[in-house]
Amino acid sequence: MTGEALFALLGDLDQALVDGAEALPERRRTRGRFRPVLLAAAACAVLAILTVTPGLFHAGRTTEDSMSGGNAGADMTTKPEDVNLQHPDAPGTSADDGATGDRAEDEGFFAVIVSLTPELTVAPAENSPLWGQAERVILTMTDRAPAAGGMPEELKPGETVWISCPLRTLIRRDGATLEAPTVYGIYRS
Amino acid sequence: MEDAAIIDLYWARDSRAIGETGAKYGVYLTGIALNLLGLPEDAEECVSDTYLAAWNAMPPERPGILRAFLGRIARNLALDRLKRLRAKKRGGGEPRLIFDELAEVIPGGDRPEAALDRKELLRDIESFLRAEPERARNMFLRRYWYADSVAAIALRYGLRENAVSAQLMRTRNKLRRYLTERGYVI
Repeated sequence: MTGEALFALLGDLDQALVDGAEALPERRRTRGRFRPVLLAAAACAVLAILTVTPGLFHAGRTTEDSMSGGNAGADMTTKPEDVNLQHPDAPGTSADDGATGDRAEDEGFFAVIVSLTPELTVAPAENSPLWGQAERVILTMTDRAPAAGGMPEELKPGETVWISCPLRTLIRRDGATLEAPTVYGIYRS
Repeated sequence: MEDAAIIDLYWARDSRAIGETGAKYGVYLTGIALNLLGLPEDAEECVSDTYLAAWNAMPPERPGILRAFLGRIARNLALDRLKRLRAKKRGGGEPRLIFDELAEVIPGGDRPEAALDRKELLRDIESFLRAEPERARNMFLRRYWYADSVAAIALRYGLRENAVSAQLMRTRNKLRRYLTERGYVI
């Protein structure tokens, strides 16, 4: 039997099986390329605490105490969800953009749908490499590139989703359009 | 809009059915078509053909799961289109790799395809997949139903591409052994 014939045959598989593969894995492991970003975020958190907390090393506290004692975010083992990455201008945080501001936590990409226009408008998460480069990521019906499959068919304002498909258009804060780095797929969190 | 309402629109021959289908399932269908065809233009045409096929099928069809019904149509149409493109020396790429991988599962041998009972084979493959660990099963389906690239699967599961390829190979080999025991592979 040829591979093509078998592939065609698999098209008739029980839909329950096929649908099972649509679901996003419960927890994705941190991908290597994000680790430097996470380490940098944790280092920044430590630096910020050292800067804004006078006398941190006084009153008999050792450095080790300071680093681990009750300073969430200062611990070098800080998980990304422990770090407050909220950006004051983050799309999805203002009342007039229609988003709920509810966001997922993870080490990779995620986005918040801030509005639904003829295109799907999503905002890059602050801890994604897109942050700072773009205010919005526009995923249009025709601007979609190879889907990693499993893209949700329904996206709602305020819904938090994973981005993992190539998004080609970024709208920068100054309104300029630029090419997006390749990001694969878009999944519900 | 609920699926039942969309199906009612088809049955009422109301053209809003197409728009509602596109709004709800357009991205899903385009993803399937794009994986197989590679070019957005081809994928869009395939999705349009899917809507037309759905329009022609309903009535009399009243699918239980509209998403499955449409997904299957889109996949089949994309495969047909891929065959035509390949005849014109276009297409190939990822699907070719996928077909080559699957060719190892049931080697031709002396047994003509016509001799295979498709329904029985399908049932056996389903049984095999149900018995597989969830992740291995889903990775197999992402590759061989959705035609995802290895890179996309790796990203989805937070694995390296090599690990995905190795897992897929293990599952294929296991499936081959399973089918051999049942007399499919000579």
